Amino acid sequence: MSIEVETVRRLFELSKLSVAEEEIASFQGDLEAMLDYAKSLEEVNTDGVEPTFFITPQANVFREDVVSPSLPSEKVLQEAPTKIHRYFRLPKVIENI
Amino acid sequence: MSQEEFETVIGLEVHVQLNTKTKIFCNCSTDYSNKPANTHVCEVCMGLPGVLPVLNQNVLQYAMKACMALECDITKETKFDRKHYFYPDLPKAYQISQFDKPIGERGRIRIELEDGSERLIGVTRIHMEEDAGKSLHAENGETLVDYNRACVPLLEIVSEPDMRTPEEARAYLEKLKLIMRYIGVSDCDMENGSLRCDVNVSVRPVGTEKFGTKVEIKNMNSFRSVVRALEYEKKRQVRQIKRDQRILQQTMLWDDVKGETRVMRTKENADDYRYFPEPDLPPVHITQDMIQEVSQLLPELPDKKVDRIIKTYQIPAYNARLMAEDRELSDYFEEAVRSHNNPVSISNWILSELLRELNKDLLPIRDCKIKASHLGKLVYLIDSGVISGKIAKDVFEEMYKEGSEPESIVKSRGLTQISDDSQIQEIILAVLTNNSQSVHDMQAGKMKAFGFLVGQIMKETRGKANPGKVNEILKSLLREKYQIECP
Repeated sequence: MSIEVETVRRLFELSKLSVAEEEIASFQGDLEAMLDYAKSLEEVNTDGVEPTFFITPQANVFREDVVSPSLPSEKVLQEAPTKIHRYFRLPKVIENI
Repeated sequence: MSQEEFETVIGLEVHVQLNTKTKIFCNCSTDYSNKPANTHVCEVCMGLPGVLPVLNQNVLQYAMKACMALECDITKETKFDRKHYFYPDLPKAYQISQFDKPIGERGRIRIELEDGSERLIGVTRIHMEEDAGKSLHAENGETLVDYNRACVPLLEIVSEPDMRTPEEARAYLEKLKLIMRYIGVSDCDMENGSLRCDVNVSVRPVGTEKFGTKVEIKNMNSFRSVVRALEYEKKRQVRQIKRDQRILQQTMLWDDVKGETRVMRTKENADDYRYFPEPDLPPVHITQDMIQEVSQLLPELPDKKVDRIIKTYQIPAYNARLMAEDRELSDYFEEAVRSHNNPVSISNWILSELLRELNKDLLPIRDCKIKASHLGKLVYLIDSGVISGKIAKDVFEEMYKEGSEPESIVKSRGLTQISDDSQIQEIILAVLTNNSQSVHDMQAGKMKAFGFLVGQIMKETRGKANPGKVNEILKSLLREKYQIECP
């Protein structure tokens, strides 16, 4: 099953990953192989079979609406590369606001 | 073509924050306002690896209440899905939401317009989802992120593109807020962010069916700014069309200070959120028993209440609607009427005197010192002639301050109205003797003095004289004694 180069680029863009131009062909081949593998499922007759969204038979698992303590904020921020006044600190994310 | 030859087509996407105690999938408190950043956060709402979200049963219950109140069909087999996008306030890089099986579909909201007409606005769908955190954009360009709000439960309520004017959009929002407050699932305060609203708006020549290209507007922080943004955008789009320029499918931001919209992003290709079923949350099967149970928790809804109040008490629709804007206020009214059957007068007292005082003191009706039955008794004292309407206002004032019963105030302060003819006559005669100048004035045709005399009599009786009787007796005495004919 073939996949367009543009589609590969779009997938990287959606995944917020960068890719070197010379790597694209190899990813294209990998993705095509995956799709071909998945395509073998099309041979199975699924007429009248309900789609499976979940693989366990569970349903209706709820919790009561009761508060329990949150994590101490030192813990929350422990792995943050940079922080300030209990905030996670990041580079500028949007232009023009 | 002028502006009037175009109509706007408006659809609203409203996010309502549910007022459950805990977040939608974890036990963190939702009470995050004015709390230090990142203090209401745990492994689940931070989306750390290996955690398992579990649905808060009250979120489901509140969502079902909202569906019922907006007359939606409830989806019996509902589930959650992951919606993927990257933004720093979304810790998992996906939002747990609902895609193809939202909890409710095909509902409607009745709106009332200024001219008294009514319209039904379709509700396309209602779904449950988690809120994102909050990013602050600092002046130095850095972004600071607080995850306290992440995972707070939301309902997204999407309307059909059924509204045709900004006024209708406002009426829709107000009705939606009223209903959510009645059923107690959210306070829907746009200023503090518990109600957020994005609008989709396009224009088309009046009388045509085909929708124009729509623009999405974000960033309005009050109902008023929604109306302003819609008015602005209509003008802009019509201007574009008249200049033969294409409307681009764009997302715009509303700038409340400048009073204009500006482009946030142009949608070249449709958003690609790569939805798929959330594997960590088992599906929800809504049974008839669950529906039964939740429907018993629903109060009488505003539309039904207004219709019933108008019908039962024969009061003006305006009064009924105004009182029904607060569920407890309309309950108060009904209780007052039970103690004295004069609904029109009681509703007037509530809407004028009582609301004026409560609004001044920023008090909700439940903290009002005047018991509903006492307000009924006050109106009874007026109706039975014990006190005048003017005295009643003084009594009301004391009731409001002290919470005491009207009869005991009237008794202890000796405020009972003087309706005894001979007693009133005696007082008038004394006033006429002491104000002979006024009588002369009237004899000379200066009838204004009549009002002055009435004032003197009321002063003499400290306002207790029955005003109707004072008028009547004063006129007849002036005629008999001085041959003065008053109109």
